[in-house]
Amino acid sequence: MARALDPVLKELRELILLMGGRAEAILEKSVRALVDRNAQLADEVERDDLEIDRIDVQVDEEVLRVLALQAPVASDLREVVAIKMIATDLERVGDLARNIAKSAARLARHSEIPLPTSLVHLADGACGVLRKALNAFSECNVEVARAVLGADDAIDAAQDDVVRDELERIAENPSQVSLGVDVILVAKNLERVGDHATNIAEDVILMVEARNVKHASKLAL
Amino acid sequence: MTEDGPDPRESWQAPERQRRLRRRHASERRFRYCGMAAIGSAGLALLVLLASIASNGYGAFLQTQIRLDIDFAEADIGDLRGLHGRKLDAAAARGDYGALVRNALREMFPDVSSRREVRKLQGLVSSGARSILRRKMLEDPTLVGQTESFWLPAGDEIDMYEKGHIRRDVPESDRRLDDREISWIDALENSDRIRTTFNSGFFTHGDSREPEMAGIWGALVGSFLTLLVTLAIAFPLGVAAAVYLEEFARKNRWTDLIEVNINNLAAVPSIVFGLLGLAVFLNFLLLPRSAPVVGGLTLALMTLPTIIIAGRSAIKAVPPSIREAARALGASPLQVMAHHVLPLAMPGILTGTIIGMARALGETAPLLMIGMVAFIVDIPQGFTDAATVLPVQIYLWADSPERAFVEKVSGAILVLLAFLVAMNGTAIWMRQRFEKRW
Amino acid sequence: MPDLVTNLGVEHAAGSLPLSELPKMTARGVDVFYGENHAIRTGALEIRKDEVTAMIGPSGCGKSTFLRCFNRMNDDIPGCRVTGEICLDGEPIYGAALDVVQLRARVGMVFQKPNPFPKSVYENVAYGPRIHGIATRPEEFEEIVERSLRRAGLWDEVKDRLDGAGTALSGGQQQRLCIARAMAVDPEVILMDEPCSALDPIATAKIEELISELRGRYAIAIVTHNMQQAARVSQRTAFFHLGELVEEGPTADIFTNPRKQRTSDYITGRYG
Repeated sequence: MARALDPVLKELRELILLMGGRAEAILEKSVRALVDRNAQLADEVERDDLEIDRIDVQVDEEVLRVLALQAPVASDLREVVAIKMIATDLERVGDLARNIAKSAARLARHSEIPLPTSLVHLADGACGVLRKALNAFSECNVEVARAVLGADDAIDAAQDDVVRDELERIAENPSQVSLGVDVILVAKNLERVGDHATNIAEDVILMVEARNVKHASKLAL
Repeated sequence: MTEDGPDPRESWQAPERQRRLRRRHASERRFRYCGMAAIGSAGLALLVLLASIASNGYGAFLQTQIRLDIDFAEADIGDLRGLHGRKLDAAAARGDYGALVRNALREMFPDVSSRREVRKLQGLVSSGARSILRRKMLEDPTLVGQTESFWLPAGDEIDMYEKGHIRRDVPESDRRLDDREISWIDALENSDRIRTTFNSGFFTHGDSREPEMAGIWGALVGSFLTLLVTLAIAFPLGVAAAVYLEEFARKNRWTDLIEVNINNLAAVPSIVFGLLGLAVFLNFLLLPRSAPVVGGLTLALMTLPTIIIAGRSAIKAVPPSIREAARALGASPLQVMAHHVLPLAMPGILTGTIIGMARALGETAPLLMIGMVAFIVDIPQGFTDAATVLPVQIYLWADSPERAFVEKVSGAILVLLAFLVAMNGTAIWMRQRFEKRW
Repeated sequence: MPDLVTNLGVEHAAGSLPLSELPKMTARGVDVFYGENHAIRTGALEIRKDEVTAMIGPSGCGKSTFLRCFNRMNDDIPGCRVTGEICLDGEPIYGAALDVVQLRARVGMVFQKPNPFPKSVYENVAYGPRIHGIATRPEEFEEIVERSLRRAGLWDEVKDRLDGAGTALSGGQQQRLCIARAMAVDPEVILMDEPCSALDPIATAKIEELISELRGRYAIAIVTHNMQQAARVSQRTAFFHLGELVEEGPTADIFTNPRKQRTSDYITGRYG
């Protein structure tokens, strides 16, 4: 039976996927700005983030409307709530990408200093889990979501590597401390992107299985 | 706006449509006129019937009276002063009150001599005057020896003459009153000794051989007692049967059979019940013939189906939600019936009862079968005394030869109709009053 | 993760649970036949004190029929047969031991369309205590009437017209009067058959509030076709479909994560 709720849900899903695509794109752009030392791309990222914010506001309004007017229950309710939470995470990803771009712009002025490979490694990892998490949502696939959860540790480890290496380099080259700080900032932001991807994966599991696995390691105590 | 087919607004004005519309209106009008014609002819028939009865019967409520100066001569009636109780009654019975009347008449017309003429003179005053004078004596024994003037009822033919049923311009041989009698009447008129006034005796006297003394009181009492018996038997039985059939009986083939039979009984000709009454109540149970008990029993049998049917329909009309609510509170079936259903059904039951009673009031055939045809003069005192009822009284009077009874028949019919209208009116009023209670 | 298995399949060994924890009323393996029509198949339910148990499901699925088994109102319908076990405080109500009249004093019912008696407000409420002999003196009756009307939230509105007709009240007031009437005999369980479906939203809200207040005093079971109402008002929900109990559990679980596909389809509106 076709329901009044169905087209609304469809629209919400499309909005999130659009937002996700933009978030992925903005993240990749900021990483490329970083790697290619391209300050111009960094400016573009600024504008792209506005787009994400606009979609976020739209999602807020839609979700409020749906909850008030359609009073969804069961799987529909979980889906709507998950969508709202994912939108928040994606909006944060956009902000993080902007931060990365700012650091990239600064680093671009000193293109002679090479970037640590561990940072590129970390960047790839972060983009990867974000993509996986969004795939998990669009396919409603809990295995992929669980894989994202599992990958979080690796991201954290990669971040630790970058920070450690960079701290060593700063210790050896104190004049490059501001650049080093930027590298560390980029690493932190990328690790947070990984966290948001994890959040998205947890939301997918809640949506599909009605299981709340958030903060599982902390709460398990 | 897209155009799909001809513009609807246009086609409503088309001549074809208009023609059909006119035809529809015309057939509506014709139907209405047919209805009005039907009601009109029914109303006309009713009006004609009532008018003819009323024109015949209004005279029953009038009585011609003659004023005589009565000398309570001790020689004729004895000395009753100082007597009481049974001694007084016995002494009064011995008096010759007819003589008092005769003397009074002879004094008014002293030149009447021949025996035939004297007898005709006596006929001026009703023979019932005697008992009137006796009653006056019983009321006041000190009247002995005194002369008082009283208005006494005239004889039935004088009554007819005064009411215009005997005309003086008809040749004497064709008249009930001859010229001599008419001249006496003229003399009475000249001395203001004759008048036509309201006939209270019609309502207070029992039946009598003399038309001018005849009244419906005996029949009314008889009807009342009979209907009382009918009500006392038919109402409880009918309501109980309706309650049982509607609430407690299981719905199977037996109850269906009973229902069909009750409906049939309501349509059975009433004379059949009279035959039943004759066979069972009189011949088998040997109850007194012509008593209100027997009449009431017979009419009760006749009224029972009406009350049962009305009762069932009233009980069925009580909304099941009320019953459910009562049962859900823990009321037993009997409590539901007594506290909720019956009070709500009572208006309908009473309406049916009154209609049944009204029908019973007007029944003649079954009562004829059980012998309420006798000529009963005394007012019945109890349920086992012989009595007659109003419709039977009408039938008896219709059988009598005297001219004066004709108007009495119509008068009694008017009284009966008045009661029937009152009872049915009460039933309708009650139904309207209690209809929208929930 | 909360365990979503219901307690229905679990037998309570005699004496294993204190009386206060036993459900007030239980139904097990209940079948209801209207002549040849098998209306309810192996219906089961538990009605607990301090809880409102809601029964939801599409029209004609037998919820009202099942509800009426709990106070034996189906006995009055000719051709209706009920098999299975229904217990009140552990005692089977279809046995010879428990008298129907007494059962209905302990298990009250409120109907879909308000049906006050065509008597005064006072008489409506006093009727139950009168026939059960709960009160004899006028002061006792007055006390019961006032208490019941106060509990139903109706006292202030009718205290000046206790002798007025019960049918002269508004729809919402009439329904509250019926609830007061049911409470006057101090029942242990109150069954409500779509109590708000004939009322406007404000009256409905008042009744729902009343139900929440009454929860602590009576075990309440409510049949409703309005899922939002069931979600708002009940602590446990049972979903019926085609005469069968499909799923039963805590209301929050049923509405956030139903286990059966049929339940999910119904509450999300995929079929009516």
